[in-house]
Order: sequence, then structure tokens, then C-alpha cells
Amino acid sequence: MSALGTRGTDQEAAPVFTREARVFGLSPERWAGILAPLAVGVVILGGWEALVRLRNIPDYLFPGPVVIIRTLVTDWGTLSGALLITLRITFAALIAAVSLGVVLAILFTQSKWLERSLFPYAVILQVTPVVAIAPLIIILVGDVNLSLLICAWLVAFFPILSNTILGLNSADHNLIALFQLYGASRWQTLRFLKLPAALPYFLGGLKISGGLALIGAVVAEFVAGSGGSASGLAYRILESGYQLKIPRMFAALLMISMTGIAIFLATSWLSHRLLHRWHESALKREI
Amino acid sequence: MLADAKPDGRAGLRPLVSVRGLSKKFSNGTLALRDVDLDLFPGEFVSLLGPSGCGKSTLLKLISGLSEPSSGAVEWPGAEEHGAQKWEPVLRNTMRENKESEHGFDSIKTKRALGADAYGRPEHALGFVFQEPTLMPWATSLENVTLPLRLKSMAKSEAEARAAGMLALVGLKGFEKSYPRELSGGMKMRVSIARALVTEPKVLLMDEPFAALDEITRHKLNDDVLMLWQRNQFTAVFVTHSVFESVYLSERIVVMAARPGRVMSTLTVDAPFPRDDVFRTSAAYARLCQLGSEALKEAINA
Repeated sequence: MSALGTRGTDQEAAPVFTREARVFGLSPERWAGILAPLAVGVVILGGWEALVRLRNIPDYLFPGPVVIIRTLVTDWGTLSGALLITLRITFAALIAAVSLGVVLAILFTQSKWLERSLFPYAVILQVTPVVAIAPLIIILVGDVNLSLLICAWLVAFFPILSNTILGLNSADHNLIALFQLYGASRWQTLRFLKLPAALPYFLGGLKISGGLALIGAVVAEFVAGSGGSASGLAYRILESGYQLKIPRMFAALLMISMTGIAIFLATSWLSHRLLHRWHESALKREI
Repeated sequence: MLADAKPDGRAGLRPLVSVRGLSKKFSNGTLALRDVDLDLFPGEFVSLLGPSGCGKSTLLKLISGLSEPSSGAVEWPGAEEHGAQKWEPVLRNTMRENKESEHGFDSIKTKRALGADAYGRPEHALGFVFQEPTLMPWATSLENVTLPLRLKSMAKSEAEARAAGMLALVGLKGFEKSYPRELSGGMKMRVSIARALVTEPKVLLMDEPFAALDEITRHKLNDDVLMLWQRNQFTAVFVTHSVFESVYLSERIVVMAARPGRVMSTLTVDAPFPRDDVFRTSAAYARLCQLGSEALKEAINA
């Protein structure tokens, strides 16, 4: 069979991928993206420390960054234990939100009636402030850890559900027609078409839910206010406030922020790994 | 050379697909097609030519079973020969499942053995090329072309070997691992054609596949489609609004008119194959295009 020629036609129009210069394994653009916010951070922290020192503001009113870091190191034993507890609840809630959100989204897109009957209740769960229902949940459930988990799950669940539903419904209509033409089963259509089409939307939801699970866990801990050795970062903040250990309060807050950033980076990295070969959101636009 | 009549020489032949009194009314009340009769004979190249809104794409969807007629029928006489009945549109999932339980598993099995799928449609009968390439962006060219075979539960290694062969045939050897976004518009269309042909269908339905491409690429792809048609000997139904394209490609042009969509006339193009640039620049081609344009003008003013 004579192969079809390619001269003067579309193959010549295939895009050319260029390699750009790299500094220590990263492109100059990536370095700028890292260095610019870092510079802003250094300026702000420096100004903060200078302000505290020049004005002689006492630590129990407003500690400077250096004192906060020092407290973080000295109190690491208590704080890291608390962090571990908060992390455990956050990730358990996130896993529950992902599995239940995806399963429900699949069920909803398979049956319009199921979606119509249940989706309004998912919305009610979402719009009710977790602070308002947390005491109720704690009373009803009894077990503190389980109550915290439920609260964090409530907050993290909805973005996954609604985004995945949107994604499952956004498969190309002509591709759906093509699957019908080849007599694909519901399972095949789900597996080969709808789930891959939903992936970018699901990952968008996961990015939001990762942060929300942490917020949900912290808020629920505040409401529960349970003391003892098995308490999370939020309780350490409350406790430090009562004891006027303000630097420790800031240190705990710093840990929560850092955890949030780590979760965001992890979900962003996952999203990039899964989408960078094909999805528009992960592509660089050449102008 | 050009006749306003039924295809001659095929009178005794049994059509592969037979469209009888087909009408389609959309839910908004538009009569997209009225009383269309059309026979598709084994191995012929037919173009559906007409202004936009004449229902040529609708007709293609009805033939493929993606859409259901309001009245009339699409019959596969060839399939009946093998013991299968008039085939049910693919869309009616629930009805299909009911049917299965009624007939029981055994009757389905016997029909399968006779070269038709469980629903009376001849196996691997259809290929469809859409206006857009309609590729899965998350899958490589090879995975895209493998899809129809995988949906038919073919073993992965065999499916991939066939898909790779099909990609080579449409001139995309070496692009198996490329994702659709890495390909140009014409190359994406080639992947789409390879996917439609990988099941070796008896009928290839093409819905204005090259409308969005530049002229050079379009000419190249027209030649390629003709080459593939001659090689694989499928029946080609090509929807277009270009007189030049329809004359270059087809043996028979079905001219359609709009509001309501209907068949106006049938033109036979009996220039010999293979056709190439010599034919494209010949006086005969120019004259055929002129006749085609007149028929189209008539259809527009009708």
C-alpha cells in the first residue's frame, strides 16, 4: 500500500515543541514565579520584626516572626502532636468527601430522578454554616472524633459532588453519539468517556475541597472545644489564648496555614500530573 | 455523462441500505425531512448535496440510527438476507434491553452467529465521520483509533495492531503516541477517518468532514478518501455543500432542497476512477461542476 504523502499538507503544519533554557532544572519563568512572592514575604516579615523591635511591643501583645519561630521550635512536641490529630481528621474527611462525592455524582448522572430527589438536600448541607450545625452533630453523635470528621466532611463534600456532576455531563455530544453507534454499554461509556471527561472538573473540586476539609476540621475543633492530650491545633489556639501564650497561638496558626498551603500544592501537583498531556488548563499558550 | 435518473446498471442489484418514505419532524415542529427515498448500493460513492437546512445531516443521522424517523424506515436488505430483522435504532436503550429478555439469550446468540449483532444490525456495518474530528483529548491517536475495537471487546494487542495499521494507511505513521492537541486540523481529521474505518465497515457516513479545513488539505484528504474507498470497497455517503467536492468524489450526487428537506434530483457522475489532479483540471470536470451548480441552484430556488 502506497503510504499517503505528507508534502505541502497538514503534517507540515504540526506544531513544533521547543525546549526552553533552564536554570537549576526550572525555567526562568518558574523561577520568577517562585522568587517574586518570596521577596514580598521577606519584605513583610522584615517590616513586621522591625516594627515589633523598634516600638518595643511585648510578646504577649504582638510577637514578631523570630519569637514565633522560636516558640514553634520549643513547643514542637505539643504542637506537632496536635497537628497530627488535625491532619488525621482533615484527610479522613477529604477521603470520605472524594469517595462519597464521586459515587453520588455517578449515581446522579445515571438517574435523573435520583439527582432531582437528592440534590436539593446536598445543597442544604452546603449552605448551612458548619459552625451552626456542629454543636448539634456533637450532641447527636457523641463521639468527638467522629463528630469532627462529619463536620469537616460536610464542608468538603459539596465542591467534589457538584464539580464531578458538571464534568460527567460535559462529555462531547458527538462522542456520546459515537459510543452509541458502536453499541457501548453504560459501563463502557462511563469508563472510557464520562470519567475521563470529568477528571479536570473533579480535580478543580478537589483543590477547593482540600482546603475546605482543613477549615472544616479546625472550625469543628473550635466548637467542640474538647481538651486533653487528644486535641488538635484549634484547641491549642484556644488554650494558648486563655493562658496568654500569644506566641504559641501564632505558632499554631502558622502551622495551620502551612498545612493549607501544603494541601493546595499537593492537589495542584496531582492535577498537573494527570492533565498536562492533554487539558487546555495545563497548557502554555504560545502567542 | 450526467443523468437525471435512477442509477443505471444497478437495477438488478440488491441495495445495502434502503431508505423508504423517510420523514423527520423535530420536537419544535420543523419538518427536517419529507418523504425521502434512497437506495445505497454496495460499494458506491454517493454525495448528499444541498444548501444548509436541507436535512442532509439529519438524513445521515437517521441512516446511522443515531436519530429516529417520525415516519418511514431505514432498511438493511442485505442484513435480512442473513436472517436478521430490520434493525432497531441504537438510541432506544431501554427498549433494547426489554427485547433481549423477551427473546431470551439463545435467539440473540443465533443472530450473532449469522453475522449480525443482537439488534439485527449487521456487525461492523457503520463508520461515522463527524463535522469535527471528535477525538478524545485525553487519549493518543492510537488509543482513539483503538476505541471502536475495544468497545467490541477485541483483545488489546490485536486492536492496537489493527489501529496502528489504519493510522499508517491514513499517513500518520509515527504519530501513534501524539495527543490530539499536538496534531493539526487535517491530521486530527485523518485520525477520525482511521477510527471510522478500523472496524472495516460496509458503510462509511461522512458529515461535511472537511468543511473546516483549508483548500490544499481538503484536496489532499479528498484524494485519500477516494484511495481508501477503492482499497476497502465500502459504500460511502458524503454530505457536503460544495458542488466541486461532490463531483470530484462521487458516482452519484443526490441533490436536496430545504424547507422541508427533500430529494430534488439525482445526478450520475460516470467519470472513471481513479480520479486525480488531471481530472480536477479537465474540461469534463468543469462541465460536470456547472451541471451540478445548476441542479443546486434549482434546489435552492425550489
